[in-house]
Amino acid sequence: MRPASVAITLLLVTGCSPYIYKTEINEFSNGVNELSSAYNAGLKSSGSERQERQRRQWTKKRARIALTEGCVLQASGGPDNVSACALREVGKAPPAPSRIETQAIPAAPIIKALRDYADALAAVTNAEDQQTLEAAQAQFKNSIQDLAKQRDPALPASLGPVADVFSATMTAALNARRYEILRDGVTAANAPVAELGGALGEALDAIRTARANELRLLADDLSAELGPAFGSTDYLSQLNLIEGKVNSLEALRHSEPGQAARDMVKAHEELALALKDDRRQVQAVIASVRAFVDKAKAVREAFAG
Amino acid sequence: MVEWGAFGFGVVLGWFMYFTNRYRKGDVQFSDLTTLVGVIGGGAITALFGEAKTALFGAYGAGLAVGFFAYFIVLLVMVNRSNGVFTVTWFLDGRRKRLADDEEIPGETRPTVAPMAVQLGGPQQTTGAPAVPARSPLAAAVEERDRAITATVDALRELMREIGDTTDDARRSRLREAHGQLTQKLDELVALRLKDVLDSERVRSALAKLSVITADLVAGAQEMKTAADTLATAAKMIDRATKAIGFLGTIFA
Repeated sequence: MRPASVAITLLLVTGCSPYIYKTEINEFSNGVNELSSAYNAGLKSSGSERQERQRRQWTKKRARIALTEGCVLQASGGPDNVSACALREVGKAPPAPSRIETQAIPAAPIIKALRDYADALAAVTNAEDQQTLEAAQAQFKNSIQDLAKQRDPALPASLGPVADVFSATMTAALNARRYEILRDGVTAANAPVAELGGALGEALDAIRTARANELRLLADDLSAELGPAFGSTDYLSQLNLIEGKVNSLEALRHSEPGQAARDMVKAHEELALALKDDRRQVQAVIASVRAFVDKAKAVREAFAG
Repeated sequence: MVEWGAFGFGVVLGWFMYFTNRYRKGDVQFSDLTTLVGVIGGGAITALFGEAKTALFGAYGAGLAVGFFAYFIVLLVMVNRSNGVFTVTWFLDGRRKRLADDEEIPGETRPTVAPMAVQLGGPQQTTGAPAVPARSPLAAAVEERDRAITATVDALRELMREIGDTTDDARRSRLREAHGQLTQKLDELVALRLKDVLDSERVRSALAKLSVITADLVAGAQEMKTAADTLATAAKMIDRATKAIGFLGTIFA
């Protein structure tokens, strides 16, 4: 086989490899992880602010405190789900999480499902598989050439291009299969992702409200205490504390968790469209994935801050 | 004879076209287009008949018009013979008389859409008044809840403004108490909305579907990995075979 014809064959074979949106899919997966972190951070921060407010109320009235029954652990077995181990004011019910926080817990399976799905997409486009394949192909070529050398020392030189064509064909075939798996998976997932994205957006919006409620109540309590009775150092210290809460509220006000979830759905739709029709709308996919990731990151920062 | 056949074919399609329009479900839907496709398809079929296609198309078109208007004329005749139960006003806005005490419209009767495109309420409408599409109690409750959320947020903003403006400590304390209560109300309402979304059948079904798709993708990823591993194994085996052949070659040389 002439080198020119080998080069043309290689070009034709590799030219058939479809674009598999590896970078965009990894970015999409990162965005989903950001939303997942935002969900966890939002719930955690909301709980912390409620706890802080409770501590201040108890301290203010020098309340008598006791442990809840959840602090008595079962002697054997796994985690105990009777009740949390916490502090309570004597004669009063233990402090309960807000209704929103309780209601947001069932959203965890949605986040897990979306993360698993995004991870699976990333696994299909996995770069390591490609590297393993390339290493295996190089090794295969060497082995074939060594084997041929046993028979005729001149044979390996002509077998090299044949092995290259074989490798390129195999890569193209595997990438075509990879593309097919992605296209079918993403197309089928479009409707469920849209539905779950909507639900996730509602959950994140609700968590934003829950955290804003806790922050506002805490900042309001702190503001009500502040007055002429405070020495200048204490006044400044309390003022800093209030300003910190207000800054967190302001960051929450600018965050758009519902929109971030909608952007996730849009990015997924663009990906599905690009995979479905072979016009390779890479720019639309890149733009929508970037918008989604940026917004998801902003939400995570606002929820954690 | 052939023209009469095309004419008859047109009559049937024209009749059916009117029938579909009359019983369509309110707004024009995509499925309604099937009738139109049928009509166009009928015209296209006549084009297959060589020299005779012009005459056939003419007969088909005439038949289509006759069938379409025949349906309307039959309706007019029936309205005329309904002894005053229906009048021509029914064609304008769906107006009709109340049912008598011993009359009823069975629930399974198909609702019609009036020729002037006023949508009637269907069989349960016995008052003769044009129907307003009924809202389900659930949808009404959801709207009410969402309105309540908006109103609570507005009230909270107003309260914050008042708390900031008042210098009277007692009033400020009362306002702050109201702020706490309203915040709790907002918490309850938003939690209710979230519960509706998360507990919905649509979300459960989407979760189940996505799990299946994810499992398929994981299997696909494994398939990719297996292909690479298989090639690596094949290369190793050839390598060993090469060494074995070399070793045997040395012995027998």
